Amino acid sequence: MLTFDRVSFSYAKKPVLNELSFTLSDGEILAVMGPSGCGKTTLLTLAAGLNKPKAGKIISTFTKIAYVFQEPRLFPWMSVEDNLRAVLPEPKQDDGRVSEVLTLVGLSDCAGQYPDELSGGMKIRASLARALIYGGDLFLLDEPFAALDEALRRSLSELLKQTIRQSGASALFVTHQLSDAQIMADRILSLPLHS
Amino acid sequence: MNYAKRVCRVLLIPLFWLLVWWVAAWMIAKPLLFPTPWAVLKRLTELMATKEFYLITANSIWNVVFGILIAVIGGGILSLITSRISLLREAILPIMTVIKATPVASFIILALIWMGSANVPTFITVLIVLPVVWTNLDEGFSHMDPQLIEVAKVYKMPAWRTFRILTLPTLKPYFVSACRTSMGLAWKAGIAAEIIAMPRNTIGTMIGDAKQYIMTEDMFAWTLTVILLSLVIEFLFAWIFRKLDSARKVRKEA
Repeated sequence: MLTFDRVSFSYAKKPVLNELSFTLSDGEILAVMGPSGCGKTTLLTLAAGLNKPKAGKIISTFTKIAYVFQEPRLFPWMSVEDNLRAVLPEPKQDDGRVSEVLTLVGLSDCAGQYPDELSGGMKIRASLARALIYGGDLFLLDEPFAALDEALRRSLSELLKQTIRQSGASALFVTHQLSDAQIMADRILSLPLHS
Repeated sequence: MNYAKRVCRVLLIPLFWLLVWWVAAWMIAKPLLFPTPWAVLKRLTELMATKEFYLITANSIWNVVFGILIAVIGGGILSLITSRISLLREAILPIMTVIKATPVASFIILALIWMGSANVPTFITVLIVLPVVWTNLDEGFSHMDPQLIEVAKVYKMPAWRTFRILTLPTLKPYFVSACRTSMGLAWKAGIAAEIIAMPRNTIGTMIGDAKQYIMTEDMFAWTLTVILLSLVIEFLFAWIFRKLDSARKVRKEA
C-alpha cells in the first residue's frame, strides 16, 4: 500500500504539489491525469523515493519498484539485452527471460542493438521491457505509451495491465490519454494545477 | 583518405621537417651549435651500439612510467573519494591549482632537498601527472548523467555494478584524455628532473653532461631518444585501449 498524506512539494519555491492525499491499495492500478506542470511526474519521483516531500508524509509498504521514466533512460553504451540484464539480480543467469520479454514487447530482433540504433518508440518499449523483467510490487509508469502508434499503444497497454494483474502488483500510471486510463486503470486520480 | 595517400602523408611530413632541419643546420654551418640530422642519427646509432644506452634508457623509462602509474592510480582513487566528499574536493582544488601553476624546476629543487636524487624524477612525474588525472576524472564525475543515476537507484543496482556499467563508461573518455595529456608532460617533467637531480645512469643526466661538455650531437641524440620513447609508449597505450575495446565488441557479438 502507498499513502500520500497531505504531501507538498516545490522546485525552488515554485509549488508543484500542495497537500496531496491519496492511497494506492495493493493490486490496484491508479491512473494519474492532469494538465502539464501539475506534478504528475513529481508524484512518481516522490513515490520512488527519488525526491523527498517538503511537507506531509509518504507511507509505502512496496519494496521493489519498477519505473518506466518519461524518457527511455537506457544505458547508451549497452545493447538492449544488456540494459535488461543490468536490472536482474544475476545478470548472467536470465533463464531466457530477456528474450521472452523482448518478444513480448516486439523487440526480439533488436536484442543486440544499441539504444542509438533504435527509434523513439523502440527505446520506450525497451524501457518498458526493463521494467517488466525487473518485476516489482509497484510499477511507476510515466506516459509509457506517449511515443507509440495507436495499435501498439493498445497491445502494450493490454500486455502491461495483464502482467501487473498477474503479478498482483500495483501501479501508478501517468497519462494524458483518457482511453489509456480507461483500459489500464481501476481508478483515476485527477490533479489540478498546484493540487 | 585512401591507404596510399595516408602512407604518403605519414612519410612525407616527417621527411619535410627533416629537410627543414637539414637546411637550417646547413645555413647555420656550426655543428657545435646545431648539428645536421645525419650527424645526430650517426651519434644515436653509436650510442645504441653500447650496453650503457639500454641501461640508461631502461632507468629513465622506469622513472617516468612508474611515476605515471602511481599518478594514474592515485589520481583515480583520489577523484573517486572527492566525488563522494564535496568538502574534500573543495579542499583539494586549490592545491591542484597551485601544483599546476608552480614551475617544475621549483618542485625539482625542493624534492632534491627532501629526498635522494634517485627518487626525484619519479616523484616529479607523479606531482605533474596526478593533478591532470584528478582534474580530468573530476570533470568526468561531474558529467555523470543524473537520469541514469536515478535508474541505478530505482532498480537498486549494487554499487559495484553501478560503478562498472555507469561510472566506468562515463569516465573512460576523460581517463583516456588525461592519459594522453599526461604522457608528454610526464616525459618532459621526468627528464627535466633527471637533468637537474642528475641521478646515475639516466637520460636526463646524459643530457646534462652533454650540455656541460658542449656535446650538442649527444644532446640531440638523447633528446631524440626521449621523443621516440614518448611516442612508443603513447602508441602502446592507444593500442591497449583499442584492444580492450575490440575485445569487448567481440564478446558482445559472441
